[in-house]
Amino acid sequence: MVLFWAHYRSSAYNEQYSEAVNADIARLKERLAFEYVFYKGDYLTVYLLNCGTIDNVTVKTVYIYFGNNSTLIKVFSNPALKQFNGTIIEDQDLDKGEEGYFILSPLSLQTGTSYSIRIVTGRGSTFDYTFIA
Amino acid sequence: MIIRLSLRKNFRKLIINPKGFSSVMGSIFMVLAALVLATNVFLWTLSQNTSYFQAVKEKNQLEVDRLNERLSAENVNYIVSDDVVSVEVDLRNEGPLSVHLTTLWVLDTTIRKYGFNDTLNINLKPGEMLILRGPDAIKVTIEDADNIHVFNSWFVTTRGNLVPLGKERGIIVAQLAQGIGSLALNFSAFRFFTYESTTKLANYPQGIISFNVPSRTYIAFGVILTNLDPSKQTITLNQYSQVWLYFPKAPGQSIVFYIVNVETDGTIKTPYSPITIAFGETKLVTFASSTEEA
Repeated sequence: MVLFWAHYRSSAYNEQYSEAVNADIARLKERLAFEYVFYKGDYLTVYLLNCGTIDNVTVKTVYIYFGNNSTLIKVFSNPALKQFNGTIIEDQDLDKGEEGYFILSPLSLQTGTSYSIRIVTGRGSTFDYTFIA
Repeated sequence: MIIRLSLRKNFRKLIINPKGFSSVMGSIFMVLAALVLATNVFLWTLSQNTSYFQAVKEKNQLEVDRLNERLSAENVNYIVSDDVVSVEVDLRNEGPLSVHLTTLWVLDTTIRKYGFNDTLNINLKPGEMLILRGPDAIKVTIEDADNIHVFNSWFVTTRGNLVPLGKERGIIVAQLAQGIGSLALNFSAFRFFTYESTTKLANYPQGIISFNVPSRTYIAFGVILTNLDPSKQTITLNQYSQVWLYFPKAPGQSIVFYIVNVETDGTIKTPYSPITIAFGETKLVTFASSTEEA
């Protein structure tokens, strides 16, 4: 009885540990490059490139900060990813080497002022970029 | 001696008593099983840690590769024609790794509009140089872009690096020295035309490329001009623009030909309306009239 319990517990531990490690490895492999961020007329367009070594990178949440991550201005969830030619990306993720962009709106920023953008992916990685509106 | 005898005695008792023996064996088995389980968990954890550190190592290698990417983009020139910006640039891979370029971004800072070309697929081996000029220039569409605007541009590599393009290429002095101020004249394409009628050129626009012209025949001259104005302004040729012909064997004598407008079929249009040449643009300009009003 004790042996079975111990075996069950160790298996559960192994499984949880394995999941945690695999998730961490997947997070490590994610990398998004900001190709360009452009603000005009309440629209913020963010162009991205998946330059990591893993497919299916999703954009879960986008935070806009004033200055260098000092004051949170606005949060956007699950923005619609589009290809550079303007068509919607069907699976809403970026595979290895894939480029895409999303538009955040409405967003009122002061032109000529510095802002930061933080992208949180579905796997939990974060990517920051500073731009001038 | 006494202790050893006592141990033997106890061991015999244990073998004789089956209940005591099975308890001991059970305990040993239990301990062994616990050890196996613990070892299993330990080895599993170890293998997972190894996988994680392998991933960290790969990630670090990628970062090192990314940081070692060295690409220079110099002698940049922007030529705009019909909202299409042609970016001429000299690329050199100065790093130890091959570089793959995916996208070129061009920002027209004057009107705050941008464009990109994401169909580049340019590969550069270490030390390789690539000159993108003329028909090989990278084209990016930006609505309302103009030659006099200020541009800023950068390449995006597959590793995620942004490579800014260097300073704009200055006008080569020789190009201007052979011309007139900011205009370059292509002497090897200097031509003359004969007349089909009093208002129509016979062999326009090909003409006859030569500096030897026939005598006792009415002719017009065609010159190919390129605007290389360093300030990138459009040059306007008004009605007073002229070609002067000097005769070395008759010092002091000269003939002046005024500029004219010519339609594609060779018909000379009157009155003259100014001809404009945008920066980087090359045009065939005809001089045919003896007066400034054609």
